[in-house]
Amino acid sequence: MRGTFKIVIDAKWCKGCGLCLAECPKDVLQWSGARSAKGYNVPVQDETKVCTGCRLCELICPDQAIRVEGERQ
Amino acid sequence: MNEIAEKYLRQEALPMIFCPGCGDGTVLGAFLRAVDELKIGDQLALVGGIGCSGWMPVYVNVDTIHTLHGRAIPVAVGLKATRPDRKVVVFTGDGDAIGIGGNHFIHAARRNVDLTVIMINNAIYGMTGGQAAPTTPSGATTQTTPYGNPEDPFDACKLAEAAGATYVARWTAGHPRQLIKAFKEAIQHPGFAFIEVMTQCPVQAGRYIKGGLDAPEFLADIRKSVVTEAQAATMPPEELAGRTRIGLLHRSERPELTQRLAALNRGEKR
Repeated sequence: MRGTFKIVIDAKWCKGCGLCLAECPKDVLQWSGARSAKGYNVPVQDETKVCTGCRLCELICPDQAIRVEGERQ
Repeated sequence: MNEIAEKYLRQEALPMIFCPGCGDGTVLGAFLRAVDELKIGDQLALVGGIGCSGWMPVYVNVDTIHTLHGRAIPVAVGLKATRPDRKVVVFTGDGDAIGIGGNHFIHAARRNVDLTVIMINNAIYGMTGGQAAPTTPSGATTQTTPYGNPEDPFDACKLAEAAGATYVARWTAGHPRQLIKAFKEAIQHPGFAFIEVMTQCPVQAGRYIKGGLDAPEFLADIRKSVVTEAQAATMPPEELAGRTRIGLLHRSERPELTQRLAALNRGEKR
């Protein structure tokens, strides 16, 4: 594992469909349980798990709400 | 929001109208990444039909036409004939392309116009409330077929190939990396390029055909129902039955219409 990654989910655009949770091969994302201003359950990054930076969540997100910060080294 | 979306989407038009879990946004994201990798953002012209998929080009900050139902392809042909310098891409749905606009579709393929046609196939008329489309599977329950669909569906890729399209590929919304590659190939292909993208429609197809509204489950089922050429080679026939082939299905070269027209205008006889 090289590099640390931060998954930023924009609560303004997320519709809580859960595709990113299903897509993540390392189960890094989990439901936050909190409701966004529009009433959707927005996922958050589980800090105890290691994100490999594959960006599948960013690619699958239909609302382009996800940004993966950090570069592979 | 990621950098690609910030660069290409009209921020004032967001959020997209698509239902939660709809695959259209994923396909649009893959298309934007292909455009970004090819660096052709300033040469693009997008045409959308009617339906959920017809909304996809509206969010992209480039020249866009939103046309009548089924008439996205003829408008794009006219655009390409007058502005051959533009990369014209059509976003259309299954009902739009091969239902209502079926005749336009086969004739654009026959003429081999230099277009990229991206057909989003959700197997139902989603925006109008879940009526049976020409791609709805046989036996499926929809709003208009409450006792099961008595018709057989179209295979849009076979139709495109038979009509004369020179690039034909099929992928699903669950293959974003492959979609980026296919979009890049299709945009650069000199001729009629057709890409069918099978997507999940958790709200309408989910409610009527599948009986569940869960988008990740729907997408997983679509992935299970398809097979690539490499996978098909190693799969036993009983496992292969009923699966849809994905990947690049056809590629050939033929004279392209707008170049032929330009030659005619220069006075060259052919």
